[in-house]
Amino acid sequence: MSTPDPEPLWSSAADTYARIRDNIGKVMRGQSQAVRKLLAAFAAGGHVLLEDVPGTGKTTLAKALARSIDADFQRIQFTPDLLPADILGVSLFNQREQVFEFHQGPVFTNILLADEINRASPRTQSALLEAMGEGQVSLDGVRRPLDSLFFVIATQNPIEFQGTYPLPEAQMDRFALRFSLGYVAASEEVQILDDQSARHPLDGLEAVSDHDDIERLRDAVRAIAIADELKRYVVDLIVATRETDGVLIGASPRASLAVMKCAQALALFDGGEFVTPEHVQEIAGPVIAHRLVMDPQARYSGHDAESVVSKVLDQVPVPT
Amino acid sequence: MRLVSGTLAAALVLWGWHNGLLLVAAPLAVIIELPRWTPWRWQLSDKDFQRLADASTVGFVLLAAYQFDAHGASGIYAILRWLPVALFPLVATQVYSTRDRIDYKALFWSVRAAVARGNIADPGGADIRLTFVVVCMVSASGGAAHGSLLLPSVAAFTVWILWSNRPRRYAGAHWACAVALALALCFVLKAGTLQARRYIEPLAMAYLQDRIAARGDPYRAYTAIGHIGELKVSDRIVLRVTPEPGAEKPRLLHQASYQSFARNMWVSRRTRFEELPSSAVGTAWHIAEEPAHMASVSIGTYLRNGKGLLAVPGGTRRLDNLPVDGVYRNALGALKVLEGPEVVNFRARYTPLELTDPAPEAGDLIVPKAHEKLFTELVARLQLDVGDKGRALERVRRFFARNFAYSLDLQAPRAQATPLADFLLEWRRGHCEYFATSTVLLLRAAGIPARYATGYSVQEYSEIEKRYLVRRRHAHSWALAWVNGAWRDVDTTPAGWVALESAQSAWWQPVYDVGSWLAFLFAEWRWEETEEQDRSWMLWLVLPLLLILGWRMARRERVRRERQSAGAESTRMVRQGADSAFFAIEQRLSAAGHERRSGECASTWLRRLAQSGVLPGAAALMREILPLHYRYRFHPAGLDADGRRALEAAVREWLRQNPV
Repeated sequence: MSTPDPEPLWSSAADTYARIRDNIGKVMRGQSQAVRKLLAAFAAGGHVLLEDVPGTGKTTLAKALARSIDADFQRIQFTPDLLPADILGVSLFNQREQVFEFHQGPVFTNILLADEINRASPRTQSALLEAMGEGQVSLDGVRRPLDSLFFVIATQNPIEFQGTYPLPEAQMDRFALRFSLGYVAASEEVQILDDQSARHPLDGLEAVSDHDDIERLRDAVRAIAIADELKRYVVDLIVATRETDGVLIGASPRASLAVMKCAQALALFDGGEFVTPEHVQEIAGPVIAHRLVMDPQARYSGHDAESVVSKVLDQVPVPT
Repeated sequence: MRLVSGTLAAALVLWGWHNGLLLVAAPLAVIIELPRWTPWRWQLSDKDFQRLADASTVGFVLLAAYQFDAHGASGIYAILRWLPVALFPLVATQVYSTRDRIDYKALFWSVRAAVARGNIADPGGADIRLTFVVVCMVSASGGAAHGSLLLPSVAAFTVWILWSNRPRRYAGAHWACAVALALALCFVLKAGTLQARRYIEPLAMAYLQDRIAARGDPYRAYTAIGHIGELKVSDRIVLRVTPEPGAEKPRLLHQASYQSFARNMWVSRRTRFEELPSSAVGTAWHIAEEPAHMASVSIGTYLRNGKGLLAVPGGTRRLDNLPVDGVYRNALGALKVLEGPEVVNFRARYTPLELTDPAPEAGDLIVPKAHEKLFTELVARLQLDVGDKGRALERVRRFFARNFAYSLDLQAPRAQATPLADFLLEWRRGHCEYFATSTVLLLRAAGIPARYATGYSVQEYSEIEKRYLVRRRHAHSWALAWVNGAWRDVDTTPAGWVALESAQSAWWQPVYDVGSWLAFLFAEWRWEETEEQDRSWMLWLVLPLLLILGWRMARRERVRRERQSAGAESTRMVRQGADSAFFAIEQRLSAAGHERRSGECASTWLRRLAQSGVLPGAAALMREILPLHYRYRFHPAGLDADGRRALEAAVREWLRQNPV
């Protein structure tokens, strides 16, 4: 039995990535790195948590991705009174048929934007756990699988604490990546004003790929090679976070997997066939930092998870 | 800073050589270098390091206490000399542990407290090997075994360390010039320091001598004459007296004599001390002519800081078993010792009835003018100026014995009367200083040369120690009278004073006595021999601590060392492309001082060098060589033969174009 030649697969996958990236770029000015990370997570089958102050384009980025793909898109505005059933769906009794009918919630989609996820109660937040981790929803004793393209983009505002519920550690671990968009350069911001003077560019955004393109993209990512030495390097980084002072809970093996998959995606985006140490280092921060539980004393002393990851990256010998 | 193999051992040998401690340094050097061949390491926690650092601190404090105890102020040199030994456990632990540095928490209490308070999250740590090397060099400077070679050897050693850490990006000649300049400055500075020292030292000595001389005569006796209230006396044991078996104990131990009385204070104006001749071994001291038969008594006493006045029986002619640097005697017979141990137990050989105090002088007949009338009248009343002096002495004794009583309760003096007049004419009671002073002045008024003597009365026999104990409350004063060509003790204090002062002793005195005895035995054992004796008793105190520490360390989990060499790595994981030609470029750049950092990717590293302008041909490297190298290293299929040839050719070309 012969294995198919991956070259055409990689080529078309890289092309898909480029199309989506450029399409999103029409809306998201000066955010090429954020788009790269978002697509890395998307191609690697992970979910993304966007954390930034209001107005930086979190929701726009999510919508732009959804519109770039010919796929279902749902948006849930998380509020304190949101219930799990509002996300997952509910079984209602059909009196005419005398049966319970399941009405799917917004989670049954391809791309789900969970806007301001930390405004809902932990109970509601946790409703997403199974969906994000296993790609399925268990309700009324029935297991309902989600679409293979299921992708969650959650946003949260890190500076507001009133009326918010910090995401539980288990939930945080389900996100492959967490990153911020940050403010763009002044020239880019002027460009944004120009773009939106007549109408929002999002309105004119058309899909540039379909469900099958994304499946092929994901297959191509999985086919990207990663050397044993680099796998070991990834594990060394993760283990080092568990042994660093000031860290109560280090990163999990799920983090190792996420680093590897996202690094594979980056390698594909760069037109490569294999992962390099640079890919691992590029994605390590967004993958690892949000999973670390810091000692409060260390936090008050000005040490945060990002500085721990930087320190680990500096200290763990990288293969060359 | 990188330390090449053998630096620690070399530092230890340098230290041992200069301090004449090569026999100590050699095994330490072996121990410190042994981990290079041992396949295991100790897995120690922060707590273990903290305990060890604390133990090292305790060891250092003990070392300091021991050296100051043994050598006084000059112990600082001995501490300097042994400093590497005190630090050795800490650096050895670092070398034998799995860590490459010691946490600051272990080294500093303040950091430990700051971490506990949460002010510091990650205090970091330090590799103390270089510190240890510096300590060894500083300590070597304290040695005098090869003084003239100190600077050259330390300089050579320093150059060796710097050579292995030289910045590769500069030419060797530049480095050599800089080092030569530093060494030249060092030698010039040393010569200058010596000159300055030669100039400053005599000035400082002269200044200090002036200050010390200005303090005046330290030997004067303040009396409690004229004081009011009850005298408090201490039970503290100051002397232990052991007469020869069957021999009589000396009744009084003479410490000092005084000549002039003024304002209720006896003063010895002539204080010039002259050194006594000693025997060859330096523990026997000759005071006066030694007749064939002499009594002897053993006296144990403490010498504060190794010096003090000795209390000896009157008529002492020779001192044996007194290991001091010198014994000095003044014109009035006081014996002073210098530079001795803290405890001595010497033997005094004496003639009980023939005192050896120097002959009387004019000053021994002076009665202060304030008291002249009182004593002249008294002499006349007692008819002391009539008949021979021996009878006068007897009358004085009888006068005090019949008419006076001993009392520690001092009364207020009458107006316009001296305390002595009150004592002699009114109260007729007082303590020994009243009796002795009155006797001296009475005898002088009668024309008999007399002196005021102070010392101790020997009277309390201890059944526990089987010898006489002399307490501070047994301090006594009496008169010395020159009668028939010889000095005689004249103690007119009524015999009841002993019982009266004993009544003041505390109820717990027996317990105190036993404790005091044990302390004395320990001190005596410590100072048993000469000054240069083996003072290893402190080491015996440290030994259990070290044993406990060693036992704890031995029980630690030891982990097998992970070898860093490529060969050992290959048994665990195949390091594909380890023979990539790219490593030749990395090697060349590292040799030029542009090492790649531990966590730095190759592209990041090359970009950094390119930005700092030290990487020629960066574009070719990044565009052609690095991608090929990465494919060789990280692609499962690696490079085919053509690809490898292309890589090698590109690397060769780069190396050719960029020789430095």
